[in-house]
Amino acid sequence: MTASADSPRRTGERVVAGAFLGLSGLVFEQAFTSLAAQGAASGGAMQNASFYPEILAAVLAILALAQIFKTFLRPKRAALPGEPADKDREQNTPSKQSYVRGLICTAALLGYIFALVPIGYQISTPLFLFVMYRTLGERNLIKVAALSIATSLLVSFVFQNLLDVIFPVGRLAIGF
Amino acid sequence: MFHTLTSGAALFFSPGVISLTALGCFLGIVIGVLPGLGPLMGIILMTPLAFHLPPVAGMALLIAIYVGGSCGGAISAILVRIPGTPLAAATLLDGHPMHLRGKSREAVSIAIAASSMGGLIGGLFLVLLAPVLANVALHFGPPEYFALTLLGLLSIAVVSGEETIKGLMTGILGMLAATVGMDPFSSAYRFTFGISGLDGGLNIVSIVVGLFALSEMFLQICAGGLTDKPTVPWVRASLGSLGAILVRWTNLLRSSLIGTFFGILPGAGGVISAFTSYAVAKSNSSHPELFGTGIEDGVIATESANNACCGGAMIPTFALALPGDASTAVLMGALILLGFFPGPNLFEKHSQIVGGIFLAYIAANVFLFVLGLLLTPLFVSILKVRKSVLVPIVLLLSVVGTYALQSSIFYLWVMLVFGVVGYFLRVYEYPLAPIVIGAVLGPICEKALRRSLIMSGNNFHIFLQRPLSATILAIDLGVIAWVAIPRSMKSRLRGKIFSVFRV
Repeated sequence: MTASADSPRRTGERVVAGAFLGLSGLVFEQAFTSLAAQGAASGGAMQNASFYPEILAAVLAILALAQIFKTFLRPKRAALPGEPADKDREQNTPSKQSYVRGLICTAALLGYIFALVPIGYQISTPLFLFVMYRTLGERNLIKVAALSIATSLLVSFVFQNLLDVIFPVGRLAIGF
Repeated sequence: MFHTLTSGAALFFSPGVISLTALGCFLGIVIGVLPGLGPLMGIILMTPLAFHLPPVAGMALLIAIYVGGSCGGAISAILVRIPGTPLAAATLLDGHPMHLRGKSREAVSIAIAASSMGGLIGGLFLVLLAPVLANVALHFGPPEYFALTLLGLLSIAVVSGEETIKGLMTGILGMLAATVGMDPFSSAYRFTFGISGLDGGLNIVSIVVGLFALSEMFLQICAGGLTDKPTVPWVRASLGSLGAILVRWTNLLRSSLIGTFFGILPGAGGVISAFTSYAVAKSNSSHPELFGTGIEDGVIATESANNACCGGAMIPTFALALPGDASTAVLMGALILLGFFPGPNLFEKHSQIVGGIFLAYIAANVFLFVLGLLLTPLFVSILKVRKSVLVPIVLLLSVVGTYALQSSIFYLWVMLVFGVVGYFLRVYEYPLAPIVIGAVLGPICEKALRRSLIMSGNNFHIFLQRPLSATILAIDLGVIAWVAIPRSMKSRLRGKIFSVFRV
């Protein structure tokens, strides 16, 4: 295989296309197990709940295989004028620092979702926003704290007072 | 048709609805100005809010965001050479050169005025054509609806541009996602894996918020430059722009017609209409060599087309339940969430809702002109907001909005999963819009297919025995053939089509 065929990007493309193929397999697996057990995997259009998903899964499998095939066939060619070469594309990929920042933000989002109900909206939201603002580069602590609290209160006002949505108050029962 | 408008007047002309329309337009322009957001993101973020409002009020808010957002991107395209939305990419061609020549005020004013006028012309067609189309669709049965939704789903291939296979794959992903939950015919549970939260299916809002909002924010975070602050001039718009575009009324009218036409075609969208309109305006100009140097006609052509496209796209969306693009697919999803199903029955049984929505669309374009010109300095200053401030706010609105749907943490997990899926799909250049189209049209397609087979005793000939259904299926085959045609042959065919527009 050529170096271009084995590039990380090509490998990633195959993994993603493979995931679609796996999804297709999962649909058939469910049709033969769960839906068959419910008596909904055979019969006419009224009873057969697996008929339509199976058609979709079959088409998806064909497309996924075609996509995987394309990644092996695509020839390496010289970059066209104005088009970045593969090397330039490597340079445009996010830096390690950006990935670390992304992971911290993802962890903050996960933590927020976990904490929302037990801790409550009024406490977890300003904390979440504070972590996000600081991680994304805002340096002034007082400004960040003020912005976190103000944003949280404004969103709370709009949803709770104007739209009658009830936010979780948490174990400390803090709510406005 | 005017009966539809007058019946909706009572629902629309209330202080609350009018205020929400103005607010939606304002928010839409703000969201459109900020690169990386766009009208689709605005509609997605505000759908949870609209869910808690009365139907006309909720739809007025979302449609006004759609209208405002379709114009807002022009401001950043003109001033900082970064289109706020893909719709404004064509506006950059003459808009930014006008700014460089010191005509920022004229460029922004003309963009806003042309957008508003184009949108109103598109609205005229919406009011005239949608009821006619809905009337035709009254004769449609399940076989015709199956053929029609198949056409809408095949438009995914057109939406996907050069990545047809990837677009179809993500479209099918959307269609499969919509099968999760209880089967409406047999009551069997599909793909729930014993998780009770999945028994009711995947909520469309969770899916789209995760796919679009979360994935975009993840990408912005990884891209860096979060504390950058662009330098923008102070710009005030002028009312004289209205005169400037009316003097060029042939360009305005022609571009608006092109935009409306492309809006009606499923899968075409504002970007194609803007570039096509620009190309046609240039070829019909007595000084085509001036296009690209910063002339008013270039901005008028693109902005009137991409906003007229909004009105055009709403025609098949409301009349046939066939969304023209991802934005109208989400609008359609919002209407369904509010308890109203688009199509001929909507026009027959709920004409006041339709009338209220049409009036909201027209009012949104009027507000676009008024607010756009009056508040230009404010919208320009929005460009200075750093991403480090914007990203957390968007994430908060995503989480809170999704939670607010049914006070369910489960929906947040669904949103997060689709956010991760959306991120990796975007990294590997899979288009996301087909997922929305698939998720909205998929259930309609399945129901129509199965009802047709039930009617015919499980015989597929029913689709060919009915003339309307057979005709639409023939069009479907034509679309498949177009997608399969090699690129070089397509370019030659497009050239021949453009030559038809030369006068």
